[in-house]
Amino acid sequence: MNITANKKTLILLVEDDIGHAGLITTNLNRSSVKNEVVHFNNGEEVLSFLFSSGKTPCIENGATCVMLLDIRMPKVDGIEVLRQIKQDTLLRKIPVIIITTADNQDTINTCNELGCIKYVIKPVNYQKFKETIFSLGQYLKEASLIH
Amino acid sequence: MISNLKIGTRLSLGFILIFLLLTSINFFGINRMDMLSKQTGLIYNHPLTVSNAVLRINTNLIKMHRSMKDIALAQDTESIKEDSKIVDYLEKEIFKDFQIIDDRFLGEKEKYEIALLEFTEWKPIRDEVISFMQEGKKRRAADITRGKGARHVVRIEKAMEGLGDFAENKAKDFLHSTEIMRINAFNVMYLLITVSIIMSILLAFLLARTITQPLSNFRMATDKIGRGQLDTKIEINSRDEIGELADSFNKMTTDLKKITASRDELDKEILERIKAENELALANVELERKNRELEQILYITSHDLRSPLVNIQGYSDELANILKDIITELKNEEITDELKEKINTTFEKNIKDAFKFIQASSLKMDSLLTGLLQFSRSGRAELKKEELDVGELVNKVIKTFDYKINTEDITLEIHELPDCYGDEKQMNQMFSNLIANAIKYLAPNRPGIVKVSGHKEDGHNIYCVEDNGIGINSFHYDKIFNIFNQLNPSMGGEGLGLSIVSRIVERHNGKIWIESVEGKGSKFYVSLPNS
Repeated sequence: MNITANKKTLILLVEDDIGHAGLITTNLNRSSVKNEVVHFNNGEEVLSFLFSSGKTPCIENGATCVMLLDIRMPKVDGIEVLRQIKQDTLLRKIPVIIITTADNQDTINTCNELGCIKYVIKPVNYQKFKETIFSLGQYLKEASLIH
Repeated sequence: MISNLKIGTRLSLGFILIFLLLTSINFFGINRMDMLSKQTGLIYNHPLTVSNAVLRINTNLIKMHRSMKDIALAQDTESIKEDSKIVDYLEKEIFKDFQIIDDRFLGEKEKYEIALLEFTEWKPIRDEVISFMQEGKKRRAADITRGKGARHVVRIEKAMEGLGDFAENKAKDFLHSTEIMRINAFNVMYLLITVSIIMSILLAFLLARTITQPLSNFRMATDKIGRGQLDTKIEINSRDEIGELADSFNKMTTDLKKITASRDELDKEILERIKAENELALANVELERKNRELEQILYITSHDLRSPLVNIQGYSDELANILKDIITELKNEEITDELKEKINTTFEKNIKDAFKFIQASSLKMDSLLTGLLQFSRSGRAELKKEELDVGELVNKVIKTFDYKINTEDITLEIHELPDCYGDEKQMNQMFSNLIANAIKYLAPNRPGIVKVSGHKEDGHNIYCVEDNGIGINSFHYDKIFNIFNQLNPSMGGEGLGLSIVSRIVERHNGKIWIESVEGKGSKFYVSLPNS
């Protein structure tokens, strides 16, 4: 993971399904988001990356990051990741966007309460999926979450 | 019976009886004293007065005799007259005493009459002497006095002696009988006092018994009633105060029983209602829990089933796009080397990847659906609970793992296992899943050991499947039983094994829990009720 010397915003994609990760990345590219996407297979991986030796690599290295977080994942799920990040004084600045197939209101509420800035539901219909990710890309740019 | 008398009456009767006894003893004593004093009076009045009279008579006789001698020796008529007067006086005195003897002599009358006759017969002899003296025939008078007179006096004295002896003996007799009477009186008194003391004690005891016995019965009965045996009747049929008390007490017990019965019924009803309400509340809680669980299952299932669909949809669409691009390119342009290269890469990478995701996702879908069906079956299949030989059952289960155990370095230890009460198929599935789980997560860097043990505890059978595998962080303890939850998806499977075990345990009203140390191994405990 070469993230040093890259001052562009880093996209942390936490997604246990490699297929989904591929489709998200492809469609983000289509919305001309050209930032580097780092893929993590589950919550545990991203937490150990963020908390490794007590440092926050993406912030320390001058890079900012934004996190695209799935909810249902083995070992540590998205909600737990969100909770831990928002409890940390430094990491809580990282914008977290939930991107998941789960669409029940309880989960949405929980994530909003915990402090996610956006909740995106993955549609099964691929046309809609493409549109969703495209507008996500637009949103990222418009909200100046990436540069 | 005495018990029908009032206690007051009974006590009064007892006191009166004792009083009568004592009074009769007193009367007896007074009577005896009276008798003794009378006896003493008798001694005084009769034998003593008689013997005194005899003694006086004897003395007076001697005096008379001396006076007669004086007369016989008198020188002048004057002296004769004087002495005759003395003789007359003495005679009168003697007659007086004879009168006393006549009154009081207790012996034969004949003896007295003889003495009196002898004395009376002395009179002509004395008169003869006096008349001879008056005639001056002194010599004749003296002769008679010394002779016939003196002899007669001796005869009188003899007769008197008989009387005196008798009186004296009689006095002794009286004294003796008085002594006997005194002793008898004392003996009888002692006897009577002893008897009356014994009778008083006996009477007091019996009286007290007639009071304390029913009271003691009463107390025993009230104790029983106090302990709640309200059927207890106090069996006291006497018509005294205790009997009356028993009657009203029995009435009270009956009333109390009625009240208690209705109260008990009410209590019972309340208890039943509370029980029913509690059961309802419990059922509601259980229902809510089930509902939440079902919602969770539905949510998870929909999420997990949707994931492969996203892939299938996405990659097949991408595939279509790729194909469309290729076709367009092929139509419009000549096949340059560049294009060849491009098409090659597309086929090698993009199309291959797309197919891989589509296939994997459809397989995943099938696997998920199979698991779901299995999970659903484990919850719906009818339970046929019976006594099961768990040792035998586990031995059957491990046969299915024979291949894995023999080819990989795994030691299986089966300890003695208590029988359980459950559905054979489900128990088989439960042990199968637990053992499979243990084998699956053994540490690859050391020889595996899987241990199955069990023991009985408080009406439960507790089984333990233990391994020395990779272990589980306590952070994940509550998640591992959730449906489709896999800590490590790379190990294969659907994440259903423990969900099914958990569901089976739940359907058998048991409990499942885990003790584990990450990197050292896990212990899965299952506790099932005995019946």
